Formats: sequence, structure tokens, C-alpha cells
Amino acid sequence: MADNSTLGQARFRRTIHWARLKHQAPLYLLILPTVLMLLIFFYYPAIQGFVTSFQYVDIRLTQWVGLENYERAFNDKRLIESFKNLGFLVLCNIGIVTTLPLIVAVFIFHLKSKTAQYWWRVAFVIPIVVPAVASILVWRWMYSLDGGINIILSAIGLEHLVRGWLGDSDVVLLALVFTNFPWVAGLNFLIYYAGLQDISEEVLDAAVVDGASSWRRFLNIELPLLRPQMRLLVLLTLVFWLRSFELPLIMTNGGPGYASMVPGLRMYYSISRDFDLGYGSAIGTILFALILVVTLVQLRVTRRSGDDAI
Amino acid sequence: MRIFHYLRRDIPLHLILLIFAIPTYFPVFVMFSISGKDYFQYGQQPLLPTLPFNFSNYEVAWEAMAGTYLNNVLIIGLGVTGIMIFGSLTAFVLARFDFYGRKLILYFIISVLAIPSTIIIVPLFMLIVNFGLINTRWAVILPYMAQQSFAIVVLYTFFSNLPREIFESAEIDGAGFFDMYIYFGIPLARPIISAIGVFLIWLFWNDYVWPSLVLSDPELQTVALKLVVFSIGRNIPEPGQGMAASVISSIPLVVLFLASMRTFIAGLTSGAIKA
Repeated sequence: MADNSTLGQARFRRTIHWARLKHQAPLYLLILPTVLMLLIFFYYPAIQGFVTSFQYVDIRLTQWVGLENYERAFNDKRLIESFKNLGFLVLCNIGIVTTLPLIVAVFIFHLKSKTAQYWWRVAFVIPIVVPAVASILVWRWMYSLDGGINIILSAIGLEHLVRGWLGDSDVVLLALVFTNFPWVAGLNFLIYYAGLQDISEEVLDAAVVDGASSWRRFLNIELPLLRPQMRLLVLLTLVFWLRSFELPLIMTNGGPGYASMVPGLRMYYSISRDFDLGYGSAIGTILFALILVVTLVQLRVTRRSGDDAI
Repeated sequence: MRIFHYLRRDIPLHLILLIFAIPTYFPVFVMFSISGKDYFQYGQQPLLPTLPFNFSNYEVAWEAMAGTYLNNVLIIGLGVTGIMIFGSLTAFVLARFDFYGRKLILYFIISVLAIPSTIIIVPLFMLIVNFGLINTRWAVILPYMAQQSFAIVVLYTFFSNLPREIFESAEIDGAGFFDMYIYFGIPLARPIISAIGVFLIWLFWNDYVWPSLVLSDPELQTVALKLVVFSIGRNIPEPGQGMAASVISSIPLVVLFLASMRTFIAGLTSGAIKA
């Protein structure tokens, strides 16, 4: 008997659920466009890219080739070279993002006048409105033979350093890193500044009352409390350089030779120049895997330390 | 007068900040300076501003760039509007209603943030070819419109934190779903929606890579794409003309920034996580 009644209850609950589902059908309809777009333009390409990485694809035929694209990638000296270039760019940019924008954010935060703080902050945000492509083109001019860098070098008596910066395979990567010097303006700086604003006034006031110098206050209070922002920016920098190739694309086309090639750019050229889509997909899959690993590591570290940047 | 007192106390800090600000603005200075030079002025003094300022560079650059603005308005306009409509509806439904698979759909949407759009360009390109959309504006509009996850996550958080009472009392008064969405959800979320909107406009205005793959037709090219084609394409223009085109391509973002400074900064800060 007891069994019967629970069965009855279960059936009762199920009928109610069906009614609820029917009542809720319009909700699914409202979500449907979003779900479809994500499926078509994100999930399907992500899976299709993985599948294509095991294929040879050109205009006429698509053929299953197993691991051939990956074998080719791991034996492709130029691709390995491009990963080394990428490593160099990533390391330099992590060095940059953990220092200069932080220093400027702290300097502005330490200004006594709130008005001055506001206007300096605006001053370091405004350059963002120059489109990335336009600023890359200006920097491309700076590095040219009769461009800004060489003019300045000649003016201060360093003629022996004058060169075509983007045509010299020894310095081209350094030139890419140096682009946008002093690397303060923009998002990195804003994230640090938002982090500083979150530090409670009481903590800072207490430090002042205790007679802590600005330097001690930075080292013992602000720097430790900004660790989540720093970790977030390191992750964002890593992911940004793993997925972006606009800078070498517009500045150097990966040249001279392959001196400033990065894997993402090889993937781009697999579409626009080489029409080698299987190989491009293999590179894309490798980059995707790297990005996932980096993101998951960051998630674990964040969870363990129990703090969150945003 | 207090402000001068403050300023004086901070003079060393101001000086250090100035040392950072000068190189930060140097490229902008270069862009303006060269954009006013004709060929001979450039030959004699390529860096510092020269007189007379040569506006004919802007005429040449404008002739090349003019048509691209309409393309940007159509592409970014439709893309961002789509994100806002579908994204806010989805966020509202997920935040205010409980139904089967709600959590699952939420994870489905958030996970997309781990798929960088530039990493999937090869299969996305194949997809656009198969759809027959190459060299149409839809080849850019649709992938843009699909970038909803960031907006949904931000709006979902906002809608979930709204007090339940607002909606309960509205429901008792007989408000249906769309009443609640249009008269409560959207107006309350307006500051957030405009911050996201400004951020997306900035993001798409900057995009060069994807349009360069699918829009080879000069009539359809976007501002960023045309700027590169004009400046370093087959027929290299005079330096002054190239820089004038760069200035022209920045103007709409400058206007957007001046019109919405606070929103702009808020949008960029929250968008930074995604960009």
C-alpha cells in the first residue's frame, strides 16, 4: 500500500511537471535564438575545427589524413620558430603588464587632489579611442627607415643605431614589443586602478596614522591586495597573445623571412594565402588547447587562494 | 585655491606622470603632424608640424574612406542591436524564471567565453563559405551577433540581484512577461546596457582580422579594413594621406568617447575581462 501511494505521488508530480513544462514552453522559445547562434557560430566551428585538423582540405576534396597535420606541425621548423617568437612576446608582455601600468595607477591613486586623480585617469584612457589598426600603422611608420625612431636617434647623436627596424631579423621582435611604449594607456591600467579603489579607506588611513611611508604602504598593503588583479592581467596577457596576430600581420607579415611569425598568423595565412585549411585547423587546435590549459590553471589558482579580481 | 595647494604638494608625482604621458601621446602627435604635410613638407621636416596645414590630404583620404562608414554603421549597428535584444531577453529569462535545464543553458552560454573567436577563424571561414555569405555584410554581422555571452553574463548577474518584490507585485497587478521585461527589466538595466553597448562598438570598430578574410569587395569593407588597404595596400599613398586616413578612422570613437566618458570607462573596465 505504501508503495502504491508513493507511486501515485510520483505520477502526480510528473503530471504537474508536464503541465509546468507546457506552461514554460514560451521561455524556451525566447532563449532559442541565442542558443542557436552560439551553436552555429561557436560550438560547431570549435568542433569542426578539431575534426578538420585530421583532414586534408582544398577546393576540390576533403580527405581524412589522421594525425598527419600534427606530425607536420611538430616537424615544421618554421612553426616551432614561431612558437619561440610567441614565447618571447608573451614573456616580455607579462613583464610589462605587471609593472608599468601598476606603477602609474599607484602614482595617480596617491595624488592628494581628487580632481587631479580624475583628469590623469582620463588622460591615460583617451588613447584607447585611437583604433588599434591606426596606432599600429603609426608605429609602423615610426620603425621605417626615415621614420620617427631613426629621426630621434639621429637627433640625439646615436646615428650608428639607425636601421630599418622591421626589416632587421635581429631586432624585429623587440620592435613589436616596444610598440605602444610606455604601455600604460588602456585596460591594464584601468583594472589596477579599479583594484586600488576597492581597498578600504580604513586600511589606508590606519597605515597613515601608523606613520607608514608611501613606499611601505605600497609594498605592504597595496601590492599584496592587488595580487588578484595582477594574476588576472597575466592570464589576459597570455590569452591575448596566444589568440592575436594583428600586430605582426599589419607590421611585418611575419617577416623578414619568418623572424616575427607567430602561430596564429600561420593559421590566418592557411586561409588567406596558402589555402591549407587542415593544417591551419591543427594550429588552431593546438592554440586552443594551450588557452584552455592556461585558463584552467588560473581558475585553480584563484579557487585555492580564494580571491577574485572582479 | 585649495586645488593649487594640492597640486603643489604633488609636484613630483605630476612630473613622473608627465614623463609617462608624453610618450603615450607621441604617436597621436605624429599622426596629426604628418597628416597636414604635403610631399615636400614631409621631405624637409617629416616629424614636427609644418605650416601651412595641408587639408588636401584629408580630401584624398576621405574619398577612400567615406563609403566604409555606412558599412560600419550597418554591420556594427545590426550586430550590437542583435546582441542587446537576444542577449537581454535570454539573461532576463534565465535570471527571473526557473525551468528545466536552466543551469545547463547558463553553463552552455558561459563556456563560450573560453572559445576565443580568432582561434576558430578557419572553421568559421569554411562555414561562411558553405552558407554562401562570402562578400556579404552578413558574413561579419552574424558572427558578431553571436558574441552574446559576455553581455548575457553581465545582465544575468544584474537581473538576478534585483529584488524579487518588484516582479511579484507586478505579477499580481497582472503584468505579463513582456510587461515585466520592457517596463522593469530594460529601464533598470539601462546604464549597464549602454556600457556594454559602447564596449562592443569599440571592440567591433577595432576588428580587422575577420573582415579582412571575408570582405574583399571594396564596396563592403569596414573602416579598419579599408584603412589598412589604403595605407599599405597596392598603391601606397603619400605619408600625409595615410595619416589623414588614420585620423579620419578615429573620429567616430573620439566622438563616442566624449559623448559618454563615464559609460565608456565603465564599459571598458568590465569588458576588459573578455577582450
